[in-house]
Amino acid sequence: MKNETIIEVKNLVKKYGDFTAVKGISFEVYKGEIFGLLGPNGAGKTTTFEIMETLKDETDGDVIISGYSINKEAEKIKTIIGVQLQASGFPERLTLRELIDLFAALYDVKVDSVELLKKVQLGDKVNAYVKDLSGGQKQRFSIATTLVNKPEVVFLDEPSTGLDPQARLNLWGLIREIRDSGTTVVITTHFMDEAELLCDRVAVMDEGNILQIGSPDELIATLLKKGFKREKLEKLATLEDVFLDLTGKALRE
Amino acid sequence: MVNKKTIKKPRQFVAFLAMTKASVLMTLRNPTSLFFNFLFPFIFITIFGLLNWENAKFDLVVKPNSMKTGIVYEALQKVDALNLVTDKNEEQILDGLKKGQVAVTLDIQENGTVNIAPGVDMPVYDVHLDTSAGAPQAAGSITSIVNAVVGQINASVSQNAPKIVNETQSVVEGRKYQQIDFILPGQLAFALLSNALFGISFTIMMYKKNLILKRYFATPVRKFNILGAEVLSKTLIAILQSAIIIAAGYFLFHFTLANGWVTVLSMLVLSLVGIIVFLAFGLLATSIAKNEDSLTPITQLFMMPQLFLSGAFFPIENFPKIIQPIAHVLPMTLLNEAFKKVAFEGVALSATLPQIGGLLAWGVGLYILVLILFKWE
Repeated sequence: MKNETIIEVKNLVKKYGDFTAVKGISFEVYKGEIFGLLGPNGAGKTTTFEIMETLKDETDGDVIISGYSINKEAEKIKTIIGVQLQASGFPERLTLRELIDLFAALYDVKVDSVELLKKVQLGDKVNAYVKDLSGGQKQRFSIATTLVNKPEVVFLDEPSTGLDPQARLNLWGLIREIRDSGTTVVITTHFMDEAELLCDRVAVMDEGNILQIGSPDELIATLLKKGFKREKLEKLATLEDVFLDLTGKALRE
Repeated sequence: MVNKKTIKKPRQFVAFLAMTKASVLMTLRNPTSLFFNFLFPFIFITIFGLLNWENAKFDLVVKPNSMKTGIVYEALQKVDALNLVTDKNEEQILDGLKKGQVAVTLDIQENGTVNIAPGVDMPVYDVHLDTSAGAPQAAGSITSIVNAVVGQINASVSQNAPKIVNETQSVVEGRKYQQIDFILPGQLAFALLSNALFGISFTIMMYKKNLILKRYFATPVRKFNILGAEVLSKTLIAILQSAIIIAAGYFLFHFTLANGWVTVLSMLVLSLVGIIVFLAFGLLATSIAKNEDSLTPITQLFMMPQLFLSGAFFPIENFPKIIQPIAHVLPMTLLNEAFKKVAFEGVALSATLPQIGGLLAWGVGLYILVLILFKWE
């Protein structure tokens, strides 16, 4: 089956004064995949993300999402994407249900807020405030707000940062569900285990350039072909496995 | 390449109304804003009300060489809240003014006549008040009463035939000025200013700091609708606040509503004009402030001069001559004056057009500044 392109990034450049944060990168994201943008802090991930999310103007190049150009049709793109920002909050003293309804109104769509909250396992929190949620619940709620307009693409910026292992596993489950329901997911992360387990394809970025793109397995195979060997053979289990074995994989909050 | 879907353009008013509703809910659920919006002004007024100045009389000391006849003097004599003192000599008066024992002195002199209708001449009176800086509260109250009485006499004479003068006197006779009548307009203007200024500036600052604004920018809502919804919600809350303060003043402390419902509605219209201007100060404060720490001093910078110079707490006449013209054009002064005219003097809303015009001029100027200076990130 031929991969259908949903996002096309073409020679994208972003300059801040003399500093060039993104140096003419190009890549494609396929419809229905989980695509990861990896890289250390300052690699240009967030800048690239914010341009795709219509939050920043590009200096040069273009991004086409579902046929619309970020240059000329940003308003249309806003209606077909969902955006989760790193560390963004919500207005205080509004219940989860009220916030979902508010976001639905911003897109001028109707949504069954209780049903949507159930989908992210917050069915028992419809009348709670965001400040009363745990870290994992907050992230799941934040993702719920990106789904109100039934987007074609959701952008998640470091969604698992600050979460404990169980909450992380749970979040990955949710992200896979979103993909399986037909929405393309683009995430940034600096956790390689997350990228390896979750992403269908990843792009590795550093200093404003894309170094390599492919599935995690392909990238690993390329590295091994170059004759790479780990200095120490990996342990058969990790401390995380121990932790999850002891505390259970089920979501506990 | 994916086929382009036809996209329905989201209706902005749906977003605008939803954001306004959300903002109203947030304010009504916030104990701090509830306290400052509704309870705080109420406490202020209660304190003044409990002081039970209803029966208190203010001494207005008449200068020895002042006229003690004529419509102005007679009108003042009939004001219940005033006690005209005529037994003090120049020396005692000067001493009393310096010590604050005499708050205000009255000097009425006849100054020619004016023709007000064919064949009808009326004497012209010059009324001069000396106020004591040592008794600002009493001086403010007495000055307000005299201004109101003079205002009524002038209004009645210039509108109609001289016969009306007699009727005016009867109106003056019937009107009882009470402490609450001086306190409430100033308190109301102050409550509107402080809540508008702090309410919107800290809300927007929080929206920026917590990246809520940025999150909204990723949705199809237009930027100015976000601010517009905040302005509308804060305006609605402020109108509610005004109505509650006026109602509390009327039912609990017998605040004078010269023309009943018309006065209430006039005051609410004035509140609306005032609040829109005051919100612009709040938006300007968030535009200038770099963070929460610098926001507090900036909001205070906008509030303090208006608080002290508006005449709500200290009579403007007590300020140095250089400051007085500035004091008279500050938005809170304009609003305070307009409230007093409508509530005390019972004039029509149209008679406060100079004040409304002044406020609107401030509003236009401030919103232009906001458009230039507002930073979205």
